[in-house]
Amino acid sequence: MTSGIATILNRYEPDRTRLIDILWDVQREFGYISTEAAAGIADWLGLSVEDVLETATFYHFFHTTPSGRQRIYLSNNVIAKMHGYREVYEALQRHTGTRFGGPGSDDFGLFETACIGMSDHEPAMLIDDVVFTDLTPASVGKIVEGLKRGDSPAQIANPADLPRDDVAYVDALTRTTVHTSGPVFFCGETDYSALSHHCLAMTPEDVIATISGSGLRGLGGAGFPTGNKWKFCRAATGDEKYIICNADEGEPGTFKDRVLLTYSPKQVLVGMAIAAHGVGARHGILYLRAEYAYLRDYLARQLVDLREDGVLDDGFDIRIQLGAGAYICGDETALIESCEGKRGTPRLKPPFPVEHGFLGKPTVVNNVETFAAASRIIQEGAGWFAAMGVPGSAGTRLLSVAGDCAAPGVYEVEWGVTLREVLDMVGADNPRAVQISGPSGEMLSVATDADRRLAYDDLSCNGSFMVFNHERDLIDIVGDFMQFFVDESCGICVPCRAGNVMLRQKIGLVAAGRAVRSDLDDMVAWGGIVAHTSRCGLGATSPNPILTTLRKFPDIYAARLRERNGDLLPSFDSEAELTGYAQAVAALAPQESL
Amino acid sequence: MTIRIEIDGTTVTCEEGATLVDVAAEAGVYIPTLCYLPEHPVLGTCRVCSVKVNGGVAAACAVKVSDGMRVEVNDPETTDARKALVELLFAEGNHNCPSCEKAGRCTLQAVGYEVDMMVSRFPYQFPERVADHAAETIWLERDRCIFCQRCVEFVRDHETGKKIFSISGRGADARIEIDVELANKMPPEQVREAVDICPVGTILEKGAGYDEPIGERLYDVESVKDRALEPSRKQRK
Repeated sequence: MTSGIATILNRYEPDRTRLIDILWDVQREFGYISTEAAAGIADWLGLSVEDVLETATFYHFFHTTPSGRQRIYLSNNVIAKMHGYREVYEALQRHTGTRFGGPGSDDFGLFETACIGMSDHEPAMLIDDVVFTDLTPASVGKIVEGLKRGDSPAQIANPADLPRDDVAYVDALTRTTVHTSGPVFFCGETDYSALSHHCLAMTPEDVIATISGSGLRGLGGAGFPTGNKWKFCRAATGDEKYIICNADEGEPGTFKDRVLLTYSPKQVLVGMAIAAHGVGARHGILYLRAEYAYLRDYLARQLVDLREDGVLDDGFDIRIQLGAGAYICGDETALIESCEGKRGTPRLKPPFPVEHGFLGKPTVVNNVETFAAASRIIQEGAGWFAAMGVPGSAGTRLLSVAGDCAAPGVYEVEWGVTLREVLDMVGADNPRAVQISGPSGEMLSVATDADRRLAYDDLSCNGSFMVFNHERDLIDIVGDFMQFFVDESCGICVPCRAGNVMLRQKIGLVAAGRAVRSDLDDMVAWGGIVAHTSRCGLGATSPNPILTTLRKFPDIYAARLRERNGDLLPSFDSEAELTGYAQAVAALAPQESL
Repeated sequence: MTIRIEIDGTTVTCEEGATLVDVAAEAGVYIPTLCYLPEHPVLGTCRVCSVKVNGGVAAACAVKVSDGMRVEVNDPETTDARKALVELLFAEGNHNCPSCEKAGRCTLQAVGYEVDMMVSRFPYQFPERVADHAAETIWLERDRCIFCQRCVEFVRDHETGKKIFSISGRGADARIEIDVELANKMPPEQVREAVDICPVGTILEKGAGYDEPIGERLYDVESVKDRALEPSRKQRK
C-alpha cells in the first residue's frame, strides 16, 4: 500500500459506510482510483477488491482509469441544449485539445453529465467541485486558458478569493434568482436557536401531531404524508434511529433544493433537528449530491454555527455525506444504500426505511424542501400552513423554472395554482409544452392543460418546471429524456435496464423518420411493461416522456411516420445491410499498430 | 397463522407471511422465476415472476401473503409481461442455446419454453461482451449473464465472507466480475456450487464441459415447471 493511501485511510475508521468519502479522497489525491488504491481500501475495510470497485464503478464521477488532471463535466440536459450547449461543447474540445468520450490527455478529461441543477444558468459545467455557469465559447476559452496557466478551478471561478464557507462564494458561483419571499420559504431572518428551544419544549408526540395537522406531504415528489412517516419511525423499535435529508436533487430541471441550501440552510438543518426530536433520533445525515460539492464547506460552517448555538449537540448531530453521481440515489432506499458505502441500488419494499433503513435501523428520509417546510410549521403552527393550498394539498411548494421564459429561477406557489397562472408569472414565451416534474413527470400541452391545477390529485409536481415554446423539437426532447433514463438506470432489474434501451431506440427511429405506426404501438405496450414490472420508481416512470407525449402531442409523432413499403420496415436500411459485410471486413482487417 | 388468499379465482389456504411464489407452487400454480432461490434472501432482480396482486403488478418472489389477498397469475396482460421480460433477456445478451454448455440445465432456456417464447419481440442487441478466463478453476462467459445477482449475494469466501463475484458499472453497461485471488481459493465443491447457482451458462468450471449428455440433463428429464410444482405433488400424496 502506498503511503498516500495510508494517509487517507488513517482519517477514517475501518467502516464501509465511509467508503464513498474514502474514494473521493483517493480520487482528489491521485486523479483516479487505481486497482492498487482499491486493493489498499479493500484490505482496510475487509472487503474484496472487486467489492470496492463494485461501488466505485457505479458512480459516474469516480474514475478507475487516469482521466486527466482537470476533469471537466459539461451538463447535457435539454435546457443547456436550448442555450448554446453545442457551441460550448465544441469550444471545450478545441481549447483542451481533447474529445468528449475519448481517453483525454494528461491535462484534461472531458465528460458529459446529466443535469447539474443549474437550469437557470445553462450551459454550465463542473470542474471537479467548482461550477461555472452561463458558458459561452469565449468564456470556456478563458477558463481553459487559466487552467493551462496553472490556476486552479477555484481561483478562476473565485478571483476575489472569497472564503469557501461563505454564502458570498456560493452566490458568486450560482447567482440564482429567487422571485418570491414567503410565506413558507425565503422569508427573512429567523432565530433558529429560539425555534429549536420552542420545539424541544414540545413533546415528540406534539411535534408529530403538528406536522400531521399541517397536512405537509413529502415535497420530493412522492407526496407521502410527512407526519405519518415520522409517526411510523417513532413507533418502530430500534436502539438507534436516523434522520436523512435527501439533497440528491437529480431530477433534470430542478434546482430549488440547491437554492434552499444556499439561502436558507439553517431552515433545512433545524427541520432535521425537529424531525429528530419527533422520532427520537440521535444521528442525521445530509446526503449532498456530488454536483453540489461547492456547497459542502458552506454547509459544514452552518453545522458549526448550529453546534455553537446549542441547536446541535450530543443529543442530535448531523454529518454531510457526499454522493458521487447517480440519479437513482434520489430514491430513498438507493440513497440509504449509498450512505452505507454501496452501489445505489433501490431495495425491495417492504420493509420501508421507517422500520428498516440506514444500517437496518428506523430511518426518516425527507427531501430538503420538506424539512424546510417542517421548520416553518413548527414556527407558525399547523393551522397556518393548512390554511394555504387546496384540500389534499396543503401549503405551498417551490418551483424551479427554466426554459423558454423571461424570468427563470425559483418561485414559491400555493398548491392549487393553475398552469396558466404559473406561465404568466414566469413570463413564458409562446409556450407550447411544459415538462412538469422533470423527465419522470409528464409533458403537458399548454393548449389543453393550462387550466389544470398543481395539486397532488391533478398535476402533482416535484418542483421541476421546464417551458418549451413552439420552436422546440419535442421528439428530440423526448429522445434526450429517454437517454437520461438509459444512462441512469442502476441495472438491477431487467425491465428498466433492458427495456429503456429498447424504448430509446424506438424513439430514435421516430426522430430519424424511420418509424411506422406499429412502432408507436410497440412503444405503448413496452412502456407499460417497463412501468409495471420495474423494481423502483425510476423504471415505473421512465416511459413517461414517450407515453405522455403520445397522448398530448400525437401530431408530432404522426408527422414523422412513414408508410410501410411492401414487406420491408422503414427501419430496415437496405443500403446499410448490403454494404455491411464490406464494412465489417474493413473493420476487422489487421490494423497497423499506431 | 393460517389464512386464505385467492389465486386465479381459487381459494388457497396458506400460512401468513409465506412467499407468494412458494404458496402458488404448493397450490399447483406455476409462476416462472429466474433469480429466486428458495431458502435464500429475495433478490427481486429478474421480475419474471410478475403477477397481479390486488390489482397491481408485483414480483411474486417479493410478496409475503396476507389474508384476503387476490392474486392473478394467468391473466393475459401479466402473462404477456412475463414473456416480454424473458424476451428482453434474450435480446439484451448473446444467448445461443444450441452451442451453450448449459443447454438443458439452463433456467433461462427452460423458462423460455414455459412462457411460450418463440423469438424475441425486441431487437437483438448483439452486445460485445468479453469472456474472463483469469481464474484457475472458473471462467465467466459474460454473453449469457442476466445479472440475477445470485453469485454476487450467495457465493462468499468461506474464511472471510468477502464477495467473490461482483457487478461493475451500471445500467446496460454493467458486467459481472470475479475476484481472481479469492476465486482461486475456492474448494472444488464451492466451484460446483457457483456453477449450479448460476441460472445461465455464465459461471462455468474449467475442464468440466459437456459432462452430461444433452437429452439427459436437468430440464430435459423434468421441466422447470414440473420441478417448481414438486411441492404441490408432495402435498397431494
